Amino acid sequence: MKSPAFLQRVWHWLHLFEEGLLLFIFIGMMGIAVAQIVLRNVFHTGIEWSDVFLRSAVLWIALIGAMIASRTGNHVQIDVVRRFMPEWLQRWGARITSAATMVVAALFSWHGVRFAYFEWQDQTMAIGIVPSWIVVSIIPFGFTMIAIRYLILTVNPKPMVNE
Amino acid sequence: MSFAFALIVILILAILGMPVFAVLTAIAMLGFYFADIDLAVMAIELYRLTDTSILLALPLFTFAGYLLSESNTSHRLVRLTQALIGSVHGGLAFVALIACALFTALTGASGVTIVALGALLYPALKEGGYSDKFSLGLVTSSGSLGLLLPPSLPLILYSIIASQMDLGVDVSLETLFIAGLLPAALMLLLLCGYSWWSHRNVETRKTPFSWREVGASCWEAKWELPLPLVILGSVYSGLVAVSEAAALTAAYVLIIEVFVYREVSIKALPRIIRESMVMVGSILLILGVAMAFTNYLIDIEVPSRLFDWMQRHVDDRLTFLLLLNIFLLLLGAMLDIFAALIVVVPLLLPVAIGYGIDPVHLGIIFLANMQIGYFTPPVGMNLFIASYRFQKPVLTLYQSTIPFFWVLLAAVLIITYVPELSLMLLDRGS
Repeated sequence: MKSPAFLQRVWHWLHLFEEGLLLFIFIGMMGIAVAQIVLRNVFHTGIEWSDVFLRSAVLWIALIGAMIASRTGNHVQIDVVRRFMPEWLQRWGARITSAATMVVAALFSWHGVRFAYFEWQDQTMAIGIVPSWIVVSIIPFGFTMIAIRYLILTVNPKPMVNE
Repeated sequence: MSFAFALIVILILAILGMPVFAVLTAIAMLGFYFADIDLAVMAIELYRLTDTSILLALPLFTFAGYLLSESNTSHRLVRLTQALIGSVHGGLAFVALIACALFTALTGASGVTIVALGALLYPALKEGGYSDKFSLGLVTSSGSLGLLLPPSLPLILYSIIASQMDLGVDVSLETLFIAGLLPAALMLLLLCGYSWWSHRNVETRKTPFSWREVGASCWEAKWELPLPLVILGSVYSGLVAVSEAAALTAAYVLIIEVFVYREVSIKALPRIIRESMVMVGSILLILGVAMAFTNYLIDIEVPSRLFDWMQRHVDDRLTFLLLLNIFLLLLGAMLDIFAALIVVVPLLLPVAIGYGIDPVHLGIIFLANMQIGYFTPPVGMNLFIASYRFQKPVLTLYQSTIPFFWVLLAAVLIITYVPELSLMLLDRGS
């Protein structure tokens, strides 16, 4: 199944966006963590928001990493049974489980939106001037992307490969 | 649609290969829905990933491990070990075992040892006079050997999970790192003994000992040699926390591999970061949704019911430990080690404590069993990695790993039934 050129372009930019964001957060995380150690032990000072930033970065990395893993359905799963099934059954099994995963991720995403909305109403701040609803919003965004990817995997199941 | 029916559907989907994170989410949502709890709790629980800063150690150590496996660290490690012990009888097998253990610990036990070191050691062993079957079995079963040595990722993850449970016992990473030392040494010792014994009448190649070669190989690895010191020294000195030690390690490895050895190009970094963070992301996502899942299970008192049920059927500690071994071996053969840790430890730990087992000891038992699971048929992950890497049928690998399975099983049983081995070096003195 081929998608229209416009969609493919959007998709391409989304991939780049995800990877750019991942790089940015990872490098920022490593840099701030090291800077904090040096500042504390050598200059006896520190970055006030570093701890919150680092802990939030872990959440973002978790979701962006999981989003990228979903591109190829590369998540941890029990494949004992699937390995010994005939190929046509494998394909249908993959379709069904992908569809179920999509439903679960979509539900999660919806409740993530609600959680972010509560935080927005509370007006709490997470890191300095960054409100916590922005930190939280990676949850609905991540699960929306995961749901879309499993929708694609439902339509186009990927053949099983033995690593 | 009743609760039981929906649960059965989810379990069937799990067996068909639904991703573990989706299975856990689905069960937790189902439970919360029937208990009239707002499902926004799922997102709130996931947000708890930001509660503890020790989680930071996971992405940073993983990244460092990926970097090391992309560079020629494996060559330098093998050369150095060979220079030190290659001259004794059966020395080449010892070299292989020790190098695999160290490399697995440093790279976080993700199957990368077989890919990076196996390709080096398998032909070397065969050339050195070891049989094809033995060499294949050794590299396949050693791909998970360093699991109990710091800073292996499963060890870190166990500490994170156990610490979140408020047990009132010290299950800090520092403690686990010490507890794993002797059990890991035992495994190495037994495997070396088996290698020596099985080839006692075979002429295997020895490399003559030379101080010059020792010096040269040390010099070549001079930037990587301080690495264990950086990691352990910074943790034990108390100067920095574990997550900070991870940051220092990642930054240090980045600098030496990219700018000093120049074996990893800057252009390759985005790919390495992406690959390592995809692995970390899928583990952390499972951890995040599992927190909701286990909270639900604790709400409906599953751990205490499980314990009551066990108490009625199993009255002594030894029987419990035996059942534990069997259960963990099966689990290790079926489920990825990280997912297994996240899902099973919260249920198992309260039960094990009820039988008087130290949480630190349980962690060591758990990982030692899982280590065997990596190459247990039918689905141990390392069997498939080795099959792919060495282009051998999986059946050949089953056969070649059998003797190593028995040796490691003996080690696991000793580790399980002699708690002192794990706890001796700790202050608590069991």
